[in-house]
Amino acid sequence: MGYTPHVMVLGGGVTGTAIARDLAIRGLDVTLVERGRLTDGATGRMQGLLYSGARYADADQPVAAKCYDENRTLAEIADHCVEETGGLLVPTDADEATVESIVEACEDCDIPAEALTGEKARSMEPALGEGVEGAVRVPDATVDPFRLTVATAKSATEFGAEIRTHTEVTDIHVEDGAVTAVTVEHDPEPAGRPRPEDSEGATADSTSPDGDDPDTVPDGGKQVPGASGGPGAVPPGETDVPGMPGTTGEERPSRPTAGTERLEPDYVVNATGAWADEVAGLAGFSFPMHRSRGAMVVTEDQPVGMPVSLGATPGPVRTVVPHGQHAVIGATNDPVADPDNLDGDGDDADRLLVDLTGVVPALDDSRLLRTFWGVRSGPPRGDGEGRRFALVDHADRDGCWGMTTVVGGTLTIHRLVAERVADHVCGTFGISRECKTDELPLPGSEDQEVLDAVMDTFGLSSPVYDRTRERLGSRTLEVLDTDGPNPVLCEAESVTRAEVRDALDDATGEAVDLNDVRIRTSATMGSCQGGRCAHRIAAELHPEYELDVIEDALDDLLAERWKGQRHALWGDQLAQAARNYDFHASTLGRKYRFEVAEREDSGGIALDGFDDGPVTGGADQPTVGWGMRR
Amino acid sequence: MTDDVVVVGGGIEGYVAALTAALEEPVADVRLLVRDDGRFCHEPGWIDLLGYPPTDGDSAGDDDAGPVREPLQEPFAALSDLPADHPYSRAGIEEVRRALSLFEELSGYEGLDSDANALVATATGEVTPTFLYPDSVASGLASDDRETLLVGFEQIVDFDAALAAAKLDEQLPYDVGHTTIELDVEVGGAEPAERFAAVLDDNEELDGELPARRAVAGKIRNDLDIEPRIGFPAVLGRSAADGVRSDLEAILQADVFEVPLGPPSMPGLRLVDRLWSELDDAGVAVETGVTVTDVETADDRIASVEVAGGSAEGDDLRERYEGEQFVLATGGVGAGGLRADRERIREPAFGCYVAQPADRADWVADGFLDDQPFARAGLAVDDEFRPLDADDTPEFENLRAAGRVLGGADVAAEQSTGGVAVVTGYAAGRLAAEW
Repeated sequence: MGYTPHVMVLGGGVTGTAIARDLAIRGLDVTLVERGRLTDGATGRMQGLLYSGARYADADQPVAAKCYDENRTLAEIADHCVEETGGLLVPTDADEATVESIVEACEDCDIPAEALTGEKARSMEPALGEGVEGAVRVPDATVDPFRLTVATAKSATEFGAEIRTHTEVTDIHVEDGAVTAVTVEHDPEPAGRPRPEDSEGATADSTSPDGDDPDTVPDGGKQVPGASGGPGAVPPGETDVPGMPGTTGEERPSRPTAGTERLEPDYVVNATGAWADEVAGLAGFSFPMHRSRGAMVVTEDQPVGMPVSLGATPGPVRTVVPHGQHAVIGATNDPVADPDNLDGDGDDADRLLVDLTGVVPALDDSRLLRTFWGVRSGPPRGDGEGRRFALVDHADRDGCWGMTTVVGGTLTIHRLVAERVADHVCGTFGISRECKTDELPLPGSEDQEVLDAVMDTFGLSSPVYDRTRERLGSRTLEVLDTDGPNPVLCEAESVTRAEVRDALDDATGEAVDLNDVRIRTSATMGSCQGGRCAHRIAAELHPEYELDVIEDALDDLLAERWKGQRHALWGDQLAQAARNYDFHASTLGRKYRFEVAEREDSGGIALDGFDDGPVTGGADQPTVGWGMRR
Repeated sequence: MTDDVVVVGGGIEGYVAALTAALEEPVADVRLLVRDDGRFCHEPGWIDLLGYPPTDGDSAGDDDAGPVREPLQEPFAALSDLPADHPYSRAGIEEVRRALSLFEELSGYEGLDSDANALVATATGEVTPTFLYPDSVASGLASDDRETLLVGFEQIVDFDAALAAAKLDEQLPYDVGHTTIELDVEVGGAEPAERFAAVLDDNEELDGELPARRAVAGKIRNDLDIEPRIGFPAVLGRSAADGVRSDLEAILQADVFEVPLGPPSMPGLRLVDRLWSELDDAGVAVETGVTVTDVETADDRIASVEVAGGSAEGDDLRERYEGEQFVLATGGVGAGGLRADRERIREPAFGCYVAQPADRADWVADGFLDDQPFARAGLAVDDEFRPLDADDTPEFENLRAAGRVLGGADVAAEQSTGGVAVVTGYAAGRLAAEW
C-alpha cells in the first residue's frame, strides 16, 4: 500500500475511542467524531463494574475466560482507572447455580474464586445481611468509565488521531456500491442540545447497565481470533499509577465553527452503540438491534467496600458498586425503543431497593442522590441466551464497501472488541500490524511521592488535595499552580476554583457547557447536587461570557442535576432539595426576574413606590459630599 | 415541673412564639426546646412579608407563573386577596401588623415605617423584594438609587462581586461598580464565612501588620470613586458586626452594607444571637441540643413531651417536660420538621396529619425552580393555629403550630418565609399564653 488509509470512527464511547486508539497505534489516520461529549451515550451511564467473568463460568466458559483476561489486561494498562476491589456473588434462591457450582466452574476457566460461608463473607464485607448464607469471592473490580475513555482518547491523540466532540454525523454518502463521504455538523451550542438523560460521567455517579449481561461472546458477522497476547508489557515503574489526566486538551485539537462539513474517509467504523441502527440508516442500511434501558441509583454514602452482586447466573442481577465516596446500585432491565428517551419513573428506584436491601440492609437508610437510566444494546437476541457483540461489514451484508458497524460488547471487553474491529479494518487494507493495546499502558502515570511532597505548596487540606489528585493524576501540579487563593467551590467533592478554571479552559472552548465541567471535575455531584455550588461554578464564566449565557449555563446545570434527583426524593435528600429551593428562590432571588428589557428607556427597574430605606445613612460619617445621601 | 407554654423548635417562629408568650403573659412559665442554631444558618437575615402574589397552589407545577414577574410594592394591600387557608389569612391583617411591630422591636430591624416592600440585591446579582431588614442591609437597598460599589473577597466564593455588579448594573437605573480583594486570612478547614467574621470581630492583625478592618479598607480605597455606599458579602463580623461596619464606614467615608450568602449566614446567626438575649431578658427557659422523642397525651391534650440529646456522648440524656400549652415550630421539609419516607411526608414530633399530594411522584415539579408541591405540603390549622387531622378536627386541644411546618403556602416562592414565621409564631405564642 502506498498510502495511509484514513478511517473515520463514529462514536465517542469507550468502544469508539478504543478503536480509534488501536488504529492510530497501528499507524492509520484516524478521525473520531462524537455528537456530544465523550461518554455521552451508554458509557457515561453505567455502573462501572469490571467483571471477572465468574458469573458466566458455568454457562459459557469461553466468554468467562475472555472476560477475565480483559479484566486483568485493563487492570494493568489502566490501573489508574481501575480499582481492584474484588467482589462478591451472592446466589439467590432463584438461581440454579450454587456457591459450590460457581467455584467449580470458575476453576475450569482459571478464574480465581473462593467459596465463603455467610459468616466468612460478612467478615470480608460487613454490610452483608444476616440472611446471606454463602457467597463467592471473585476478582471483580470497579472502573471509572469516564476516566478510562478520556485516557484512551488522550492516548489515541498522542498517536495522531483526531477526536472531534460536539460533531454529529448527518449523512453518509453511498455511490456505486461504496461509502464515499460523511457529512458532519458541528454543534455550536452543545449546552442547548437535548440529551437522552443525565449523562453521569465517570466518577462516582457512573454505572454500568451491563448488569444482567454476560460479557459478550464473539459470534458476530466476523470470525475473530482468540484473545491473545495477555497482560504484561507494563514496566514495573508504571504499575503504581496514581491518577490520570482528568482533562483532555488533546481530545479535541481542533474546534471547527458551526456548520456542516463533508469528509471523505477511506473507511468508516460505526461504533455508535445504541444509536448504531440510526447511523447505519444514514447510509441506507437497515440494521435491527436489541435495546433495553437500565435504571441506576447513586447513594450518598458508600454502603459496601466491594461490588456485591445478587443473583449469580446470567440473567437479571442487582449489584451495588462502590465508587469514590458513593455507590451505584443497579440495574433494572426494560425494553426501550428510543435511546434518546430513556427516563422511567420513581418506581425503578423502589424496585432496586426492594431487591437489594435483603442482601445489603444498610441500603434502606442510604440517602439517594440521583436516579438515572442507561442503555444496553446489541444484536437482536435470538435464543435469549444473552447479548453478544457483532461486527458487521456492510460489504458482506449489504454489498456496499467501506463501512463496518460494531454493536454490543461491554465495558469489560471493550478493548477486545476494538482489537477485533481494528484487525478487520487493517485486514481490509492488507495491513498486517499487530494490536498493541493490550500492552501499552494508558497515559496518566506519575510518581506519587513527588505529588505528595508538594501538596502543602497549594495550601489545600489533605482530603481536598487527595481528591484533586485522584481526578487529575499527573496534571495536578500544573492545574493547582495558580496565583492567589484557590478556594474550594464544591465542598462535597473537594473541587477548587483552579480545577474548575482548568476544566473550563479545556472543555468549553467557544461553547459553554457546565455539565462538561461537572463531568471533568465531579463538582455538583455531592449531596447538595449543585444547590450550594452551581452558582459558584457558573460565576467562573464571568467575564469571558455574556451575562445571559452565564445565566443559561447555570440553569442548564441545575436542570440536569434536578432531573437526576427528582425521581427518588424523600428523607434527607428531599430535605436537601427543599433547602436548595429556599436558597435559590429566597436568598438568591432566582425564581422570578424583573422584566428589564422593556424599561431600557428609563434605564432599568422602576424603583418608585418601593421602600428606599431609613432616612439617615451611617451616623458616624463626616459630612463631606460623597459620604452623604443623595 | 409543669410549664405554662412549651415551644418546640428553634427557628424564627419558635423564638417569636416563646418571646410573645413570655411578653404577653409575664407571669407565665415559658420553655423553648431547641435542637441547634442550624436553621438560622440558612436565614438571609431579612424578613419578607409578601413579595409576590401566590400562584394557584392546586395546580402547582402546571401553573407556574413563569420566571418574569413584578414584585408587589404594597404587601399589606395584597394580604386580603390571599386564600382562606393561607397562614396570613388565619391570623388576620391586624395580627400581621402587631406581629411585625413586636418583631421590629425585638430585632431592631428597619422597614416597617414605609409599609412598602424594599428591593434588595442578592449574592448572584438578582433584585428581589423583602420587607424588614437589619441595619447591615439598610443602606444597601437596591430600591435606594445611590451608586454602589460591590466588594468581593477572593476566598468567599458565594459572592462574585464582578458578576453580581455586572448583573445589577444592567438592571438598575444607577451605576454598580466592583472590586475583588484578597485578604491574608488562613481559612484552613473552617467555614470561610465564619473565619472572616471572626477575624473582623477581633480585628486581628493580618500579616502581622494592619488590623483586619484597616486592611480591608486599605485594599478598597483605590477602587472607590464617589460611590456613597459599599456592599460586602455578609461576613463582616458576628458578635461585633456593628463595630466592624462603623469602622469601615469611618475609614472609607461611605455607607457599608452586606449581601447575604448561603449557610452559615452571618446575618441569620446575628439574629439568633439577638433573639437569644431577648429570651434571656424575658425569662424564657431554653433547652438546646434536644429533639422530641416521645409525646404523652390524655383526653385529646398533650400532657408532656420527652426530649433526648444535650450530651456530647450521644442521646443518653432524656428529659420530660409537662405543659399546659404546646407550640409546634419545628420547621418544614428542609429543617426536618416535616420528614418524608418513600410513601408519605410526616410530622415526626407529634404525628400530626400532613396535607400533601397523595402520590410521591407529585411531590416534586419538573423543573428545579418551578412551583414545588413539597414546599406547600404541611399542617392545616384552624383559626387558633391548632393542627387539624384529616377530618378537620383539631389533633390536640392544646397544641398550636407555627412557621414552615404549616401548609397552604409556598413561602419561598411568594417571598413570605420570614413574615409567615414571625406572624404565625406571634399568633401561636399569644394564643397559647392567653389560654
